Amino acid sequence: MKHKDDVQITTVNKLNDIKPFWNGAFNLIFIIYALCCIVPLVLIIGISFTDEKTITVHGYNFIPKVFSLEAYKWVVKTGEAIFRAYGISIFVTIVGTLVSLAIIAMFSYVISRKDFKHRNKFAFIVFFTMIFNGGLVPWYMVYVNILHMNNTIFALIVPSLANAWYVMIMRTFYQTNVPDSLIESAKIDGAGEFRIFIQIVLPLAKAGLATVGLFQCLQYWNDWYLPLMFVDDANLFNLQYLLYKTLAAIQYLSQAANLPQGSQALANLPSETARMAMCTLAIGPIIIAYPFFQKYFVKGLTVGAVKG
Amino acid sequence: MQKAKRLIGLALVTCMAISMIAGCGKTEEASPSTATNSAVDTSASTGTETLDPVELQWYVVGNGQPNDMDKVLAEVNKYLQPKINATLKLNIFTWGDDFENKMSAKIQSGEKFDITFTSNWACNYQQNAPKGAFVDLTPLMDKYAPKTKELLGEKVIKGASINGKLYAIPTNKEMAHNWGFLINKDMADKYGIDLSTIKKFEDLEPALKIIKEKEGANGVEAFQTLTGESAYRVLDFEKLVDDNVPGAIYGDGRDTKVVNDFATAEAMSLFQTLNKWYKAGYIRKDADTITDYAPARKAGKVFATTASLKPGKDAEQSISDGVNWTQIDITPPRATTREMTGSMQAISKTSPNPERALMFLELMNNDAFLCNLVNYGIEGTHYTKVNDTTIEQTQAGKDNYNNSLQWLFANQFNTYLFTTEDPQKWTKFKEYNASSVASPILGFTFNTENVKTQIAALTAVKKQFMPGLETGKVDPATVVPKFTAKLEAAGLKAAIDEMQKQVDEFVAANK
Repeated sequence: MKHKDDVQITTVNKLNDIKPFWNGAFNLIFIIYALCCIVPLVLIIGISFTDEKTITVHGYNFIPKVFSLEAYKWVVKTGEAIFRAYGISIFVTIVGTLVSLAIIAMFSYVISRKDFKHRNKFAFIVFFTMIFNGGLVPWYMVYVNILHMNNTIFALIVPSLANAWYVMIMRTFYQTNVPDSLIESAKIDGAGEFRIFIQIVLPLAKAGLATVGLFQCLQYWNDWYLPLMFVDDANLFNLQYLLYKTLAAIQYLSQAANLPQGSQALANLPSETARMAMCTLAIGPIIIAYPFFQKYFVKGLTVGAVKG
Repeated sequence: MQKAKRLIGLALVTCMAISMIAGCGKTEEASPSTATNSAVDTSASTGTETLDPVELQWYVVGNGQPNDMDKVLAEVNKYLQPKINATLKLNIFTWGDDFENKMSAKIQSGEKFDITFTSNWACNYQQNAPKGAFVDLTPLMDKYAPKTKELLGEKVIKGASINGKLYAIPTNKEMAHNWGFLINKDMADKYGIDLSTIKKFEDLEPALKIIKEKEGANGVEAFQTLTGESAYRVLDFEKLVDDNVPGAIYGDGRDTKVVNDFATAEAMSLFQTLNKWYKAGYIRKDADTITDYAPARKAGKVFATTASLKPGKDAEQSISDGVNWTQIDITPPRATTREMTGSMQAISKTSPNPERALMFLELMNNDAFLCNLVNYGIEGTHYTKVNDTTIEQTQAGKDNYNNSLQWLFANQFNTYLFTTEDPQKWTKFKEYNASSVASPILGFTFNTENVKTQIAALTAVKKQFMPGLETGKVDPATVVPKFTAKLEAAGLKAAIDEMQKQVDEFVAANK
């Protein structure tokens, strides 16, 4: 016994509702997608706890047929190198993210201000690097032959400090979220440029900063290319590079049988389970970083939409 | 606002300053090579005896930097300083991309370093040397490395030279190869297979039959031949470009006529044998889709496979696989450019002290103490001597200084042997080298410039047809003609003609 209004409301709601078929379909797609992301991870963790011999005989298993901590024991034993690499990764990620956030925030703020006469020129300089770049060799030469950054910790930080794309994102973020009138009123109240930037603009841009910060954080944590190019000194290897190096070597050696004594070299590399243990350890901290950023991440997406 | 402007101004000035320095950097880069050349000339003419202290930077490929590298280098330097007043800095990079990327960046950017590992498979010698990345050692050898020159001998130096110029010093090791089988000895013994009757490729068949019957159910591959890592190589053609490109001379050195090796009668007969074996189930069904040969071997699921051999290859392979292998030689030992350029040390054009680098390499080649120090670390710490030529690694040596690069560091014949190795190993190597027949085109390197497109097309065709043939999956009687037709359409004739032309020129020039 429904009222006419009720019927209308439910029909409206029904019209707005997603159809059960599509609802199910979307859910299914995302479940499959999520599984594609999670299953390999679980497998890696599973392998890292499996006994090495079992893998050769039975192949990979999600639940270890023969449970073994051998791989982690190996990691701890060769320890020094891996723990130092851990330290380097953490240091580079924290320092790199903070410094690059500072640079990106300042640069994009300046070019977002309409009263800055040369803002288009500076925006162009940044934008230009998104389309054209000097290529690998000149890039390498600048850092090695001119700045002499190779084999220093700077080589792992400096090249990723400024990212043109994030500068553009932040500029747009300032333009949409920080009204000019706010800056003007602060000026009238007697605030200097730095006070305006730090006390008024930055708190408003928190969501944007968190987004860029998360990306930069991942960039620094997952980077193996910079140490590959610039670091020869084993004391400065980061975790991802250590992993990459081992995997690349194994892949190379296992496909080149007529290399002089390639097989002998292969025997000296860490076993399958040890590699997976390294991999598991490398995932660790960055997973912890996610929820921290996520709070702002979601906010960053909604703030503009609701107010707009 | 004012402050911001000022800051920006500062940034702009810094930017400009950097770009100016970058501009200068380029002109600066060209000068070291001329400078070093003149340095070589003067020191060669005056023959100065007093040497300034220098640091030599040496890059090689391996398992990465061992933990105790600094300790060992300290010992090396203690030894080196009184001799040639140099200190060594040795960096071992990792196989594959790591070494390749690092070295190509260093070479292309003109970064200063002294010595690098080079070969036909890593930090490519044939590509880098003609580009001028390495110092031409030919005029320096007599003065700075006479003993090494004598040690290597004319055959090796010729094989390692490009257009008569030696750009790198080959490691003194086995300088020949031959092909044959690796056989799982435990399995052979178990079923009483008499391996001594196996003299040629086809002779293996009865043994395969037994293994298939007895062990087939346990998932044992009687004969392993995979894409790339296949039995085809047992024909031992001397390829002119690489394994993917047709065009070779006969490995026995009968003449210098370039042929399409994939279409020879020998290849046809091999493909037929493989096809027969495949049909009989001696070869795994999915062989043509697999490239990683190691897992099955290590798991003890392979009875026989083909391999590039040298004396003691079976023992070496047994240690790394944990399977008891024995080797059967099928082809006679042959010395080709490939072995000569398999492991070498080149001196960089950017080296500030090329003559000192060469003096160091001379020392590495002739001083057994230094060679062993670099190879095995410090006596008492990393290894203990069992007798004069044999050592045993300590646990510290296994954990912290385990390079396994005896084939790379200078003179393998001067290195100690492990207790697990044949004490006669080096004598056998020397005999093997002496017994090898040199290729008629030793030292020849094919210049692909004129036929680049054909080579790319031929490679693509090879990759389409060869996996089926080299694993016996397809019938060669129908596939080989198709394969040949496709190769011809891809420009086979132009490529072969170009190869023949270059080979003929090389032969004429080296008469």
